[in-house]
Amino acid sequence: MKEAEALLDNYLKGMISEYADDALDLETTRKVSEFIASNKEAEEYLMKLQRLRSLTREQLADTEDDPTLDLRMMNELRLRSYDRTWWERAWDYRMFSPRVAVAVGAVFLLLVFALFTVFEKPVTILYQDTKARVMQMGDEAKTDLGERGRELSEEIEDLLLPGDATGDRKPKADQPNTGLVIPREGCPA
Amino acid sequence: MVEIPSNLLLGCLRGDDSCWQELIQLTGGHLKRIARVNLRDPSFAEDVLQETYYKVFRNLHKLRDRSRAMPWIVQILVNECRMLNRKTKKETTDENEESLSYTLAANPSNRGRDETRQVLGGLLKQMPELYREILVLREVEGMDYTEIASALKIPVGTVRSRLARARAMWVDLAEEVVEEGQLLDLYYEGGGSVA
Repeated sequence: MKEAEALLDNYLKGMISEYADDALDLETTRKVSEFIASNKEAEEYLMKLQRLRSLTREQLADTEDDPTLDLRMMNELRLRSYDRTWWERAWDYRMFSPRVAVAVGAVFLLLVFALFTVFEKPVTILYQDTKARVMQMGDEAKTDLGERGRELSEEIEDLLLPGDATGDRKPKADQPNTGLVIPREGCPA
Repeated sequence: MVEIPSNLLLGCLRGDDSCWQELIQLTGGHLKRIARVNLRDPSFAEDVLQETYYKVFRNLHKLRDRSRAMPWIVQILVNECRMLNRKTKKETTDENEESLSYTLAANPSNRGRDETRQVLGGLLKQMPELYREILVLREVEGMDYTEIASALKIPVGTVRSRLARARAMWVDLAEEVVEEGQLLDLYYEGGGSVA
């Protein structure tokens, strides 16, 4: 019951508030006016409200103008606008609203997915081919180095072994002639 | 509610200093009044005003409907006031100091205009921020429902209901103040219709 009374009270106060602002239509204004005339509490509430409004407007709305306010504000505005760097000023004129930014982000993501779908196969093939080629080159390099190392060790072995009486060395039958001529002391090549 | 001419805004957009000065002359007084009543500490009113004009300066090119320039500026100001009120937490101390001054100036014949103003300002400051903002815009600045809705970014229906609740609370608080012997002007001076 009390809640209903409070609701009714709020409703009536709302109506009186709009009546005071002259914001009701003609028919409602007439009804509210009749109600106020017949109800002492409502009349008293409206009277207090109007007096308070009048006093507030009279006292608070008519404050003296500050003659130097605009100059102070302008100075501050000038100082603050000069403080900013060119990129801050450029950022002020950015045209992206949040909606546009989200739309651009979504389009970018879709583009990335589309590109991935189209180029997934060729990119995978390219990757595998490259990997195989790199491995092959690695193996080849290992083999070449092994052979060259063997040749060099044989040549060193030949140099260390003693030659025949004339000083000439005969290549071993089972060894291939590498064609390498090693200069000796007192015997120009 | 003050109307800002479109050509003045265009001049401001072009960066014309004299247009900016004119805009500040036109709106400064109104904005300062709103700030002084809305802020817990009115001494910050000019700081808030500076911040508001700086934001207007930076964002004026984004304003699409130039006929709604003033509600837009008021909206920036109200937001600045809210932010500053959140930062300043010394409300209770200030209120205690103010209530002492009300008691000293209880007799209206001994009370000057400034003191009455202080009592009325203090009355508004006792109200929740939500109600105080709407009362200041309507009762002090005389903005209509549409302008208030635009400035506070709320529907017109909400403006009506919130204003009604705010006024009910306002009248109750004023009644308490009158009972304490303050703000006797309400009884001694009959206020005319504002509507």
